Order: sequence, then C-alpha cells, then structure tokens
Amino acid sequence: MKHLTARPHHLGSPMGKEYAEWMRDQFRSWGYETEIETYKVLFPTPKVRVLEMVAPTKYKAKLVEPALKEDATSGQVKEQLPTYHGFSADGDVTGELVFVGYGVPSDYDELDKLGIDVKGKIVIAKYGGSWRGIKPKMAQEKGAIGCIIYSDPEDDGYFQGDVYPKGPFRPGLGAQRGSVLDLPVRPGDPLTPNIGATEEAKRIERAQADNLISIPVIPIGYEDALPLLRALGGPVAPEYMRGALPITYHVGPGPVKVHLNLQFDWKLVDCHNVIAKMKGSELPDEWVMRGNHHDAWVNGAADPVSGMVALMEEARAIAELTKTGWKPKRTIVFAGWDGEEPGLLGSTEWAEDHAQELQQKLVAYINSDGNGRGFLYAEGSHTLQQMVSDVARDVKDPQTGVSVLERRKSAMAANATSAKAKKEIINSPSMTIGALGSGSDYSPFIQHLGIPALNIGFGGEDNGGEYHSIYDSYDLFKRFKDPTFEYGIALAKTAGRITLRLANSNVLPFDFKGFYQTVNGYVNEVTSLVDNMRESTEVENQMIREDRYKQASDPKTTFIQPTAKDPVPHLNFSNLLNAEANLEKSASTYAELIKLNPNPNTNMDRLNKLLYTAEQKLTIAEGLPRRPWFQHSIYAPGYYTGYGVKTLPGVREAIEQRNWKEAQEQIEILASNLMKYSKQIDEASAILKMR
Amino acid sequence: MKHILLLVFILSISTYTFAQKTIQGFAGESAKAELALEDKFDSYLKASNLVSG
Repeated sequence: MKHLTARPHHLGSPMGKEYAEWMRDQFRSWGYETEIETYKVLFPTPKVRVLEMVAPTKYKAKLVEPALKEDATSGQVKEQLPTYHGFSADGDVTGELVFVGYGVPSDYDELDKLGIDVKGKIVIAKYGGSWRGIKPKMAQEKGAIGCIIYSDPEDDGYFQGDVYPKGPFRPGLGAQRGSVLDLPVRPGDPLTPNIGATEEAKRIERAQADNLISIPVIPIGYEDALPLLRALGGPVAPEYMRGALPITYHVGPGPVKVHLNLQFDWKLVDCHNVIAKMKGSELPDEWVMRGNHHDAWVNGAADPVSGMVALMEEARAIAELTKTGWKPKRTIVFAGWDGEEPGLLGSTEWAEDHAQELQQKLVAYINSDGNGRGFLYAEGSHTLQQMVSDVARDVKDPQTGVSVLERRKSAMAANATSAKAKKEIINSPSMTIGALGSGSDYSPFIQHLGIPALNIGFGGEDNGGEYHSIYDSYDLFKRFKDPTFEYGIALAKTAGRITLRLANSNVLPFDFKGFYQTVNGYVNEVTSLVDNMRESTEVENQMIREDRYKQASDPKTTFIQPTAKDPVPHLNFSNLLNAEANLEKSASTYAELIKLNPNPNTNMDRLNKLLYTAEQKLTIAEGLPRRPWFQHSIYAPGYYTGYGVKTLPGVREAIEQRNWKEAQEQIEILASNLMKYSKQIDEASAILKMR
Repeated sequence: MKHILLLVFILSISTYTFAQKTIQGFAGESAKAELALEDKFDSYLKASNLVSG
C-alpha cells in the first residue's frame, strides 16, 4: 500500500500507467501470464472551475482541499485532480439558488407542495440519500441549469466525529470528487456503447451519448456551502431536509444568486487493465475471475488500494501453492481495472470487448473495491449465497476469534428491530447476501453479460470522511481504517477461498434453492407493492377530494394541493407465479439429485457449463426499458437510485412509475426468463440422473 | 481417569465434526483435500506484504 499510494494515480495519469506496469511485473514474477490491455476512453478533466455568489453579497468558493502537515501526501498538488465531478457538462450559468435537500425525487415532491419550482435555477443538494449522479439527473429533469453538491456535516463531517487530522471525518473544505456519468443508464466509455473502446473502435459523437448529463455540476465542502446556504431566503426547509450547519436552513429561491462556470478538456486517454492468468490443469476453458480496480481519484489508500493489495496477496499465495505441485483445475484470472472511478470504464470496455468469450468461459466474477476494519459484507448472485456462507464459516474474524460468519450474524442480530428477526438470524446456520446494484466493476459481468458475480469486503468499524478526497491516504488509513492490515488478510482469505473453491470444485457450487427463495421474496414484494399502492392511491385521492390536506395546512403559508392519481389496476401475475412454482420444483429436484450423487462421473463438462451459464437465461436481449445495456431481469441499479439495487427491475420500476402497460409486459418477460432458467436446471438434473 | 475420559470425548466430538464438515462442490476425500489446500493458502498470506505493496 505504501508504494501504490505514494503518488496520485487517476485514470490517464503517468503514475496510473506506472503502477499498472508495476503490478504486471509483480504478477509475472509470480508465474502468471500477464498483459496490460489498453483502451482509449473519454475522460474530461477541468480547465475552468468557478463558483461564486454574486448576490446578495459576494463570496468566491475556494474549491481547494488544504494540505496538512500530518498527511505526507496531501501536498502533492501538481499531480492531484482538483475537486470536480467526472462527466459534468460544460456550462457558464448564473441563477437563483434553491436548496433541494438530497435532491432525490421525494424532495422535489416536497418542494412542489411549497410551490417551489427549480426551472431556470441552480440547485444545491446535500450528498447522501442516493448515488451522487441522481442529483444532477433530477435537477436537469426538473429544468435546473446547474447543480452544486456539498457534504453536510450531519452526514459527512464534524457531526459524525472529529475531523481530520484529529479524527477521520471530513474537514470543512474536504470535497467528494466522483463521477456523474448516468451509470443506471450505461456505465463505460460514453462514446463506444456495447463495444470495446479499442484504438480503432467506431465512436459516436458526444452529443449522441445516452449517459451524459447536460448541466454543469460541482462538489464542494461545507465550508464553501455555508455562506451560500446562510444567505438563502424563502420558506424554512422541511425538518427532514436540514443538516448540521449552524444556520436555519431555507430553501430559496434567492435572494442568493450564484455564478457557476465549468469547462472541461474532453480528451481521450489510455485506460490500462492488468490481466493475469493461471491456466487450469483440467478445465482451462472454464475461468474464475477476481478483480479490483487500481485507479483512484487521488492517492486512494482505502478506495481502491486496500482491496487491490489484498487481491495481489491472494495471487501471490496461490502462486506459492503451485510450488507444492498443486494446479487449479480451472483457469484463474486476476484483474486490476483502470478507470473505475469515472464510470467503470476499464472493466466495462474489457467485458464488452471479450463478451462472447466471457459468456462461454467465465464461471463467476468476484469483485472487491476497498476494505477496512469490521464486518464481512457480500452481495451478488444468490446461487452463490450458500458457498459464501460456507467460506465465511471457515475464516476467523481477526479481532474476536469467532468466524466472520458468526460475527456478521451477531452484528445483524444486534441491529435487527424485532425479537423474531433476531431469533431468525441467530438460529440460521448461514447468512444472506444482498443483491447487486451498481457502483463497481461487477456491473458489466452480471448486469450486461449475465455472469454470476459477487462483491465482497469488510467494513463498518472504519468510518471516516476521506472518500474521494486528497485525505484518502496511507497516513489516514494506517491510523483509522485497518491499522494492522488484519482485515486485508481477512479479505484475502475470504476472496481467496471463494476463488479456490470455484476453481477446484468437481461440480460447481451453485445453489438454486437459495436463488428460488430469494426470488420468491422479491415476487412477494412486487405483488404487495401493487396492492399497497392501490390502497394508498384510494385514500390519498379521498384526502384530496375532501380538501383534507388543505384543511390541515397552515393558512398563512403557501400550500399547493397535490393532484389526484389514476386508480391502480389489477395486474395479472399468474404466469409469473406459475414460473416461480416451476423454478421451485426444478431447484428442489436438482438439490436432491446432487445430494445423492455429489460426484458424478459422466458429462461433467456439460453439467458444469449448464450450471454456470444458467444465469444468462435471466437476461433480456433487448435490455430493460430505456436502458438496453442493462439486461439482467433480476438485478439492476435503480433508475432513480443509482448505486442502490432494484430487484426485478423491469417489473418493479414500471409499477413505481405507474406505467401499468409496461409493468404487465415486464411481468411476462420475467416469467418467460424464469421458465428458461428452470429448463436449464432440469437439463442439469437430467445429467445427474444418468448414473 | 476422569480427565482422560473427557479428553476422549472431546476428541471424538472434534473428529466427528471434522468428518461431517462438507463443502459444496466437493465430496468425501476431495472436500478434505480442498480444506487442507485452503488452510495452506491462508498460511502463506502475510499482512506485511499488504503494507509494502
């Protein structure tokens, strides 16, 4: 970590290339066939950054994170990217300011009730509540001309704890860099949708790209936000919108007027992925892949180097195993991705470039994206849930000595809100894993190609405010994140054992019963969602019809009556419920057969291929509505949540958007996919019956 | 004698537990070999390499 964080190494930087070459040489020295695969991707960096209040008083935002004598790398100003948002639009705009809370859809509903419109205005939103890219996306949809995102101390600063360097939390001018590429529409290079961004790739015009926003947006620290928010007028912000600054929060608009001028260079840069392979001894054309990104916004000790060094230690230890005469049955591939921070550029371009081969060969992809002290977290394909649980049972927590499985279960039980939930967690022999949304390099594998994937790491006792700032340094990491690096080793053990089990197993450890149970829960959620919406729509419409909201409001304040909504129809879920029943039967049959015959001798290649390609049956060739790149019918990032997952996304989002025709269409597509998936499990079962 | 009986009991429990330990994707001897391989893998991991890397 000392070496890989010694200098800033963002995408396109000289150190980014140097570190990629260093990692390549390390992998080679351990015996891996290693190459750097380079793509040409769009990566704008700032030429002009101006944010100033022009009325009612003057204030020019500093937009600079100060170097600290306690942090040895924080003064590397010449090599640091300034505070900015990757893929903000160019823009030179002046307008009245409106405070929009977190700037998510529900905040705009509240502003509507206050009669506040952001059309032609510049909005200021707090970080939090959603992925950052949703804030300018919403602002743009509502007609705003610019967007400022600041870190409020309530969520990310002194309200949380002592600020850096005394404690790990964000200081006043600390600003969270980050991408605002429209990731829920499509990650990857904006100019080469669906194809690898090779030198000779055919590129579209920037104006044609579907994942670029059209308004300028900038991140600032709370010290720069305070003068703007303090001077805002208009109604007092609803209580839930307020933060921890020493002011009364008003929403505006005005009298504050701000001038925001952002200009970028919009250049193509080299994106260097490090790909290291160890050929399988028996099944070289079945691959198990483990990845983490190596690019950082600045020095990136926690994000991403803490995960990258764990991965490299796994690779070194696996290479050591080969010195004892052992070889993996399947090919193991390690990846160090470049360009993750601006929008999963390296992994997406590589996955698009190698799509066909990956859909043929890749058994599973295991991702991490940093690591720290605390509890194991895992998200991913639910067919892998049981295997993750088994591995977690075999890895010890460095601080307590219990397994990382039991420590995680204890934390979940302690935080559970009911006695019933606590009991269920404690008594379960395994753990549940979450579903994958977006925000890291697993996305192209699972959501575009339908390849089983996991995202894992440790955290929860490593809180801080260094994220995407110059303070994400070795000095801070060593003091506050994982001082002994024991959790780095815990990650290496967990991810390494998962990789080894997938690489060595006779029959791949996919559990379809666990998958069925999870999907059954999701289907119950969406059917309940429709029923609940129907009931709430009826009640709300009655409240509006009878002027109840108006009667409840303060006559001395502005109140805008909400509009009545169309009633919610009854959707036909019968095909989906039948497909679910079919899946339950197929999954149970396979589970019984593999229990009886755990080591079949015939047609193993065919059996394993059916198992690892089953998830591809869950993809939709034409993709999700309005975002064809996302093809998985079970997992996707939410269109209006960003990183946050929406399970059964086609169905759930159509219902949430009250698009009933589309909801019914998506129910049929999902049902059809589940039937195809079950059929493939049945084919696997048929092989097990041939004893 | 009491202590010896206790030791025998503990050993039989742990042997039983080890014999019963199964991992998905592996059967019988191959499960034992896989777990032994993973233990060896763990023993090669060094925190000091993470610091210097």
